[in-house]
Formats: sequence, C-alpha cells, structure tokens
Amino acid sequence: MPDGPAVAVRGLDVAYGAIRAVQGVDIDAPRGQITALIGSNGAGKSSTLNAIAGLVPVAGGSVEIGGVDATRLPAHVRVVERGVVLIPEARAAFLTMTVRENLGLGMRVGREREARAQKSAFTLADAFHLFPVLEERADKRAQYLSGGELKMLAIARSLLMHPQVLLIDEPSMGLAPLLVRQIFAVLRGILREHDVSVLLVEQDTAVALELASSAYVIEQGRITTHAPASKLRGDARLKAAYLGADAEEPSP
Amino acid sequence: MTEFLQYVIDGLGSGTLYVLVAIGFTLVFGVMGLMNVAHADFYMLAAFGLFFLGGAEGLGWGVLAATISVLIGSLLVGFAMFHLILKRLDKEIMIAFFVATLGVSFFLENLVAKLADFRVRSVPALFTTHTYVIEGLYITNSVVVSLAAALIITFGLLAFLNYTEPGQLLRAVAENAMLAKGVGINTGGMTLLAVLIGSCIAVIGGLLYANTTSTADPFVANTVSLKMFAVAIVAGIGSVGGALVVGLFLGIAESLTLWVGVRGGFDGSQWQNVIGLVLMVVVLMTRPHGLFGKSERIG
Repeated sequence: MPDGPAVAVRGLDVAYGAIRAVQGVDIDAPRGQITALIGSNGAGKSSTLNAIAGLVPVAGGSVEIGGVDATRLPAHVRVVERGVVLIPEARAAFLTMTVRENLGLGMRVGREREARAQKSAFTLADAFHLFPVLEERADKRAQYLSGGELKMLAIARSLLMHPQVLLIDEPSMGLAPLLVRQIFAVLRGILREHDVSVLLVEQDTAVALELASSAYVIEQGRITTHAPASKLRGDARLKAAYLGADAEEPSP
Repeated sequence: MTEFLQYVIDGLGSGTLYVLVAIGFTLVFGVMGLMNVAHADFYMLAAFGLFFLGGAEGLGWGVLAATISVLIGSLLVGFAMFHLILKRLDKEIMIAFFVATLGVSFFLENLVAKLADFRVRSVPALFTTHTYVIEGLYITNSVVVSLAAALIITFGLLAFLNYTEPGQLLRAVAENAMLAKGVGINTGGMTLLAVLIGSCIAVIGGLLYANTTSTADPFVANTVSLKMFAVAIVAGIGSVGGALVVGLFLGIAESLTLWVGVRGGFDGSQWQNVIGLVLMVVVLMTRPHGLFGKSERIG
C-alpha cells in the first residue's frame, strides 16, 4: 500500500444549485490517525464529508482514497472496494428493520471486504460487548430505539463493515460524554491494529480537539486553519470563536 | 344468495388481474419513488405477444413458446425502460417521470396498434376453459388459475422481501436510499431488480387477462392503469399485501355494482369504473398514506 494520506481532498467544490457550500477545500487525513473538521452550523463540514463518501456530487476538485483517485466512483463502490464508511449525523439506521438486520447489513459489506483480503477487525460479539444495549434490543425494530442507541447502532454497523476510512458526522451528538470517550478508546485500538483512519466533523470543538490529533477549521465553505490539535487547544482566537460564551451552555 | 355469491366469484376473477398489475407498480414506486405510468402497458404487450407470436394470424409458435417468449420479453422491455429512461431522470422531479413514462406508454400503444391495424384482435387460449358447477355456482378454471397466481405471487414476493438478502436490500433502498448507498448497496442495481420483478409479474397478469377476455386490445391500458392507480393508492404505495386485499376488494365491489344494477333495474356497468375512483378519493381524504401504507416502507 502506498504511503501518504488515507484521504486527500484537493480543491473540492460542492454546490447545491446556486449555493456554494464548499469552495476549494484541501484536506489530508493521515493514515491511522483521527483528523477533525470543525466549524459552525452550515460551514460546509457535512457537505465535505458527504462528498468524500460519494453521496453528493462534486462540482470541482478531486478526492483521493489511499493515493488513488476516487472522485468519479459511485458511493457503493467506495464503500465496498475502498472501505470508505460514513456514519451520518441523522437518519443513520433503517428504522423499519430490527437491530440485528441493521447490523447484518454492515456484516454483509464486512464479508465482501474480507473476501478482498481485509482482515476481520470487529465482530458481532465485539459490537455487543461494546454496546450491550444492542444485544438486549437485537430483535427490536430500530424505530423503538432512543437517539443515543441509534447512534450506537450506526457506529457498530460501520465498524462491522471493516472500514479503511471512517467518516463520522458529529459523533458526540446525542451521546453521553463518557460513552463518547469509551467509543473512541475502542476506536483507537482498532485504528492502531488495522490502519484505519478517521475524519470526523464536530460542532463541539472541545470534544473534537480532545479526540483528534490534528484539526482543520472550516468557515463559510473554506478552510481557514490547519494545525495539530494540541496547538489549537491553546489557541485563544479559536476559543473565542467556538468555545466562548456558547460553549458554557449545555448543547440542546 | 347464490346469485350474490356468483357475482362475488366473478369479481374475484377480475380482482386478481388488478392485483397483478398493481403489485409491480407499487413495488417500483415504493423503491424508486417513481411513478411508471407505462407499467399497465405490460398487459397490452403480453396480449399482443400472445397474438403475434403464438396465434395462427401471427408467427404461429404455439401458446407455450409464446408465453415463455413474453416472459423473457418483459425482462428485456423492463431492462430497456430502466436504462433508456428511468435511470436518466432526476429523482427529485416526479413530474419528469410522469411525463416521460406517459410518453413511453403512448409510443408503445400506438406502435402496437399500428402493427395490429388498429383493431382488437383475438388471442389463442392459454388452456381449455372448464366450468365447474358447485352448489349452483359457476366457477371457471381461469378464475381459479388467476386467483392462485395472484396469491402465490403476492405471498412469494412478500417472502422474498422479508426473508431473503436481496429482499432486505430492496427494503433498505425503499426506506432510505442515501443510507443504503452508504452501507454499500448498489441502489441503481436494486431499482433495476424491482423494475424487472414488476415487469415479469405484470405480464403474467396480462397473459391471464388476455386469456380471460380472449382479446388483445392496444389501448387496454387506459382502463387497466386506472385500476392500477386506484389499487396501489388505496392500499398505500409500497404495500404489496395491501395491493392484494384492495385489488380483490375492488374486483368484487365492481362486480356487485352489476348485481345492484340487475336488482335495482339500472345498468350497473356504467357505474363499475367509478367505484375505484370514489374509493381513491375517500381514502386519500381520510388516510393520505393509504389503508396499509406507511410513508416509507415496502413489503
């Protein structure tokens, strides 16, 4: 496998009609690390993530996965062949299906990727060990789960897909902070062992900088800052912008 | 009482044919969110396949060879419709699907009408008709075959959707196409699968319809599509089991209109086609998702 970043985004433009959500974005997500993309509502974070996953059309620029151009690949090919797995922020599980069926959809991709010599990283037993509540509710329809449980289901399903690149949209949304730390502790183990890279999008800058090793700041569709997380944690300007008065209030 | 039951049985016969056209329509609508107005034309294509390929006035291949060719042909037509038209349209614009498939419908109907010299033709029978007399009721074997076909196909399709992996993938696309892509499902491929299944079921209905009426009418879709809309919408788009119940109910209700006409001294046949439309309006006013429908669900 070639060296270099797991995901390399170059000059990415995403447009919805006349609205240019993402303009000329460059991102390198290093292999085996967690990279954060932070910014406020509507800054273009999710659009960037969806473009990398192939779920929204790219108006310009390119997306490279593992050093190979993937800009024109359909989303399902990126998932199965390149292991690019997105955990969406909302509507992240099939509500009319049971928990087990949802996980089964992840395992289906996992089997396919194993057939392509991707070693098993995460099994159903691991999923139930990490999230015991999913085992308790295995035969319940997902529509009867709480918001946090749906999030766990989506994360478990994504890990069962044996991802190479995990794109996580707002991991802390709807989850208790303790559980977020727990999930990321497990995730770090998997990253180390299996060379998985993570690009996560967060509104909660404090959480993002705690989890990630480096971060990009996106404002109005453009990258304005890129630095190691340790440096940004002490950045007064960033604190003022994102961790100011708003950060003191509990998130809704 | 016997007379009443006789009308119910006759209604079951036509009801099964409404079921078979509505199932494929509702499946494709449920998966793609697309209204394929040309779907009812499979009834016309099946009948003329039988006429042109099987009948003495056509190529004279015989009924069996013609039936098999029609089934294979339905897959080819479905495949062509998907690749030439359906997959090229913007899914956000429902009216585009409506207009484009209406165009396909006009094209197919007039092409076949031209080939058939703008006449209703008579088709060879699929099997010899028998009439059983049980307790004074006349039951033809074609009603029995149609009913069996509708039941087997409906429950077979439900089992496919609920208990097989491709069925589960279809349900996933129907519920949330974006997420389906995200879990590595080829949504275009699944949509093609739904179109092919729908086409195949529709020509089975068309063959039975042609057999029951012994005719091939180039413009039969004008009436068939009305029933198709009524059944699919009243049942709830995407509800396969609902299409079975509502289709049979509509057939029986139409037949009983005739019976009421006979009893009341008026021509019930003039009111027959109104039933489905009235049903549609009443259900849409009270249950916009249909009797068995949820907003995003197939099966």
